[in-house]
Amino acid sequence: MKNKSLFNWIVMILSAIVLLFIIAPLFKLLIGSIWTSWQPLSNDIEVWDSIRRTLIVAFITTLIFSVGAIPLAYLLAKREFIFKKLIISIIDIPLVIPHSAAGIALLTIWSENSFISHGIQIVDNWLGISLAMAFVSLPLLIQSAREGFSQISENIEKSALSLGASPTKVFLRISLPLAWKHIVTGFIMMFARGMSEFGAVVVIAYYPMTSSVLLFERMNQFGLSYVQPIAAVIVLISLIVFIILRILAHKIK
Amino acid sequence: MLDIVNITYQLPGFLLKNINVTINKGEYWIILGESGSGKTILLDILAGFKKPSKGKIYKNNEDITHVPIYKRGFSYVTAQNSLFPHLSVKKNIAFQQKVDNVQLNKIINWFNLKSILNKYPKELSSGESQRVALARALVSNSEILLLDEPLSSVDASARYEIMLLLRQMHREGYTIVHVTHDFQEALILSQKVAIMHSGELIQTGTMTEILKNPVNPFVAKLTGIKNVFYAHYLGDDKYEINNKITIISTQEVPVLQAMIIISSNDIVLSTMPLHSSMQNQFKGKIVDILIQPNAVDVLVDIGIILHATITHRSLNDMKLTHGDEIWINFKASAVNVIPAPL
Repeated sequence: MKNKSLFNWIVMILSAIVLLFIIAPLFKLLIGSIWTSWQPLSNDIEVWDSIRRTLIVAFITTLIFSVGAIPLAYLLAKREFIFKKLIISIIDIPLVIPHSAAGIALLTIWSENSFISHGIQIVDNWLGISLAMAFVSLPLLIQSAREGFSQISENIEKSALSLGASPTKVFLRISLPLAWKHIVTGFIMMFARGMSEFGAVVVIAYYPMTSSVLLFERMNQFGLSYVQPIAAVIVLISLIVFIILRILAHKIK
Repeated sequence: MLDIVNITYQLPGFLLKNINVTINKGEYWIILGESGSGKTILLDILAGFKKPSKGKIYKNNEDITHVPIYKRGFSYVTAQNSLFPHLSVKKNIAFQQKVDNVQLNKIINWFNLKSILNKYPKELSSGESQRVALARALVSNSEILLLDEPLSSVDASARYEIMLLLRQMHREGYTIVHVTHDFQEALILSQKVAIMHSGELIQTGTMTEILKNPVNPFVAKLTGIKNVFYAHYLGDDKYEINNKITIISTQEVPVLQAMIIISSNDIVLSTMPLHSSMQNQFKGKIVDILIQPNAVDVLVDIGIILHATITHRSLNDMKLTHGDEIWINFKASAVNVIPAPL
């Protein structure tokens, strides 16, 4: 018992250190600066514009890319085909490469002369921001949805098909609802990741500024103490949006 | 109604070889085999989940080998996890919207589902789940029901109830193909049996035919017959087992190496030699007594170990115990002889 108690203490202390590491800076940021500098910040249109822009682009990007990501996740979970494991690994690559490199890769393929761009401009516009956000955050949605589809027993889908339901009906009425929890979680994670993206976005679209780029610019121009309240507001809004989405997702379940 | 012609299916390290079966309307077929025998693969091919490498499947003389699952008109019920967990029992049963209400109510009453209609699958017992799965299969108006080990995950207490339902479904005229490894299920439910072993269909027929004439030792063992021995033919209806004992049979199989099969129910135990017409009499020693719910299995060493099945009453009356000397008696006609496998 004594050993167990000692073990519990060690686990609790180590956990507390990690939690403190995450919570302390956020707490200091939110409590320490926001109230003192709220007045000038509330009139800073550029800050509010960047936040609004970030939220809208991240949300629409997640929504649009879900249309392709969910079927891809379904395929990866439910079908066997050549190079499947390789494809699963490739999907995770955006998570492990430096995001500035991801931005450069995107720029390369969407450059004016590339076969894919057809003259579509992505530099310094909303489309560029959206592509940068999607590239680095899509794996989170795909892998979460794939996990959800994988957990559906093969017997359930077999039974539905044998009852005369077409594959489309089985997907819409059985697979999608059963994987919904994972899909929503993936959606929230992709949205949150897209919203916080800096490296890939700054390479492709410095302007119009997303909140993370704006923070970077203000920090360079005016220093740490100036930028603290702005960072606090961005963190606070991100947290609020994240919590609201979590609550909504829980209600949908 | 359903013709399975030369169905072959190849997997790395496994081959389902040239399966031929004809299933007529209203028949209850049991496909019996151990795990790895290929019985579930055959069922998957019938259902349309797997495409055969060779061969054809005909339904009412129409080739359905490449018809998609959802257009075949078969319902598939698995051992477990086949109910849709996010839908209530009622919605599970009426999953296909084209269901006729009269038919739906008839089946709800038949399967006694009224009290659980609004429950969800996770709230059901294993027996209730399987009742719902079977009811749902019937509601879809399928012509053939394909059942993959439907009783294997059902609690012992509910097994009998489900078996009765299956027998009732058969009496109502449903065509059923039921895959199992359990000989008791086959005994109780089957009208016809197909026995599979290592990807091959080794015997088909009624259970009586199979019990009477198992084609090889594997079938004999599968049917629960324990007394199966290699024997050497001596001529004059006599066979020698293990160079130790000589057994007389009415069957003369003109091969040097044969298999002797004796049903344990055909063996009579006596505490002294009997003056009877039974041609086979041996003195032995009881080496074990296995008490079963409905009978007692007595193992007697007569040079080979023979199993004799007796009643609990006989065990008590004869006061048999381990190590007792005993006489084994059986008729020559109870000795089934088949050629030994190559």
